[in-house]
Formats: sequence, structure tokens, C-alpha cells
Amino acid sequence: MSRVKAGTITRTRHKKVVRKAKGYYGRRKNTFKAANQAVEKAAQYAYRDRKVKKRQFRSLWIQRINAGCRLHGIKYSIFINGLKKINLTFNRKVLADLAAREPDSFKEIVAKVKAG
Amino acid sequence: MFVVFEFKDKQYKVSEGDILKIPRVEKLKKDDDINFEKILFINSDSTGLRIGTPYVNGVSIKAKVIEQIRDKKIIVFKKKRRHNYRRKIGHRQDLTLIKIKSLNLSSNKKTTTKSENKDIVDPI
Repeated sequence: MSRVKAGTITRTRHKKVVRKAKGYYGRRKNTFKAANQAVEKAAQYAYRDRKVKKRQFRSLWIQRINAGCRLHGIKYSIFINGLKKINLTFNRKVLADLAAREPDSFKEIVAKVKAG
Repeated sequence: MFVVFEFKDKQYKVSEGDILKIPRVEKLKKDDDINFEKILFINSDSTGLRIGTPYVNGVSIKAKVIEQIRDKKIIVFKKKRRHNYRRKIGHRQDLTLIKIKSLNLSSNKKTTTKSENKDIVDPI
């Protein structure tokens, strides 16, 4: 069998990483060593931030619901408490969507909560 | 016009013809029908607003399975520096791709036919 020199294997391996660093800044997009570090770090952040994303969205939704509620003269905390009391199970994603895009529907829900 | 329904602890706001990804339902095949009965909220031109406490009775959503799919691959990469620890795992979530076919908003059951919807015209 013919011989495969180590350089070939190394080049393929390096290429794979450098390709993933496409669009990075400076040396990170060209050299293996810098690219490898950057790609690893990016993957670590991606793993962490998939969890952070969930928190950030929840807090964004809460802000939107709060803004929507206050248009109808009621606080967020009172509103959510009221929802529970009359056994409505909307989640915050849906409520925020309604508050922002379907003000009429949201108004009805707030009215129902207020009526208790 | 839209409807909010719940499936496997997730809530979706949909209109007719929407395509959405839901957690995989194993037994379904392509072109099968699936019904959702946990309807939380209805905003319809013909029957008006209806808020369920927590669910609206006697209405359902009919959807067709387009395909059983797997979501885009996610790379789970963990590393602890100075401890020579690296883990790389690929993950693809199992999903079912469905298309909302019809919203059956007129109550069929006797108990729920209230005066609020006089016209029995199916909105779709």
C-alpha cells in the first residue's frame, strides 16, 4: 500500500475547523490555532446561551404583558394572580403575543380577570 | 381569526393553514389526522371571542401530519479548561410537522350549545 504522509491528515483536520471559523475577525479566520480556540469557545457559549435564551424570552414576555396590562389599569402581578384565581392557564408566551398583536383579545382576558 | 390550543404542555396560537412543529407523536404516519381538544382561546369572526376556563368545551382543531421530522442538529459541546475534558454530542429533536386543516368551532355537543352562536355555519 502506498504511504499517506501525516501532513495530509493534519491539513484535512485543520481545514474542517477553519471552515467553521468563516467570517470571524482577524487571525481567527485563517490560522488553525486561533480558529480552533474561537470555534470551541463559540460552541461553549452556544450551549450556555440556549438556556439563557429561555430566561431572556420569559422576561421579555413579562415586560410585554406588563405593558399590555397597564394600558387597562392593572399591574402584571395582580393580573397573573387573577388568572390563576379564575383558573386560566395561558402561558406567558401566548399572553405576550396577544398583548402585542391582538389587543382586542387581550383586553377581553384582562376584563375577565378584573371581573374575577 | 385564530385559536390558542395546548398540546403536551406547550401552547400554540394558530389559524387555518398554519404549519407547525409539535413534539413527536410516535404512532402517527404521513397524512394521518390529529385532533386537538384542549382549546384555550378562540377569536373568530363568526363566533366571537371565547375564553376557556381553562378549556373551551366541544370544539376541536383538526390537523394533518405532513411528515415526521427531526429538527436541525444541535451541537452540545462541553469543556472544562485545564482538566483535559471535552464532550461533543450531536442532538436532533424528534418532531412532527403538521398543517392545521380546520377549526371546528361550532359546538356539537348538546351541553355546550348556548345562545351565543345562533348560526351553525361552520366558519371554515
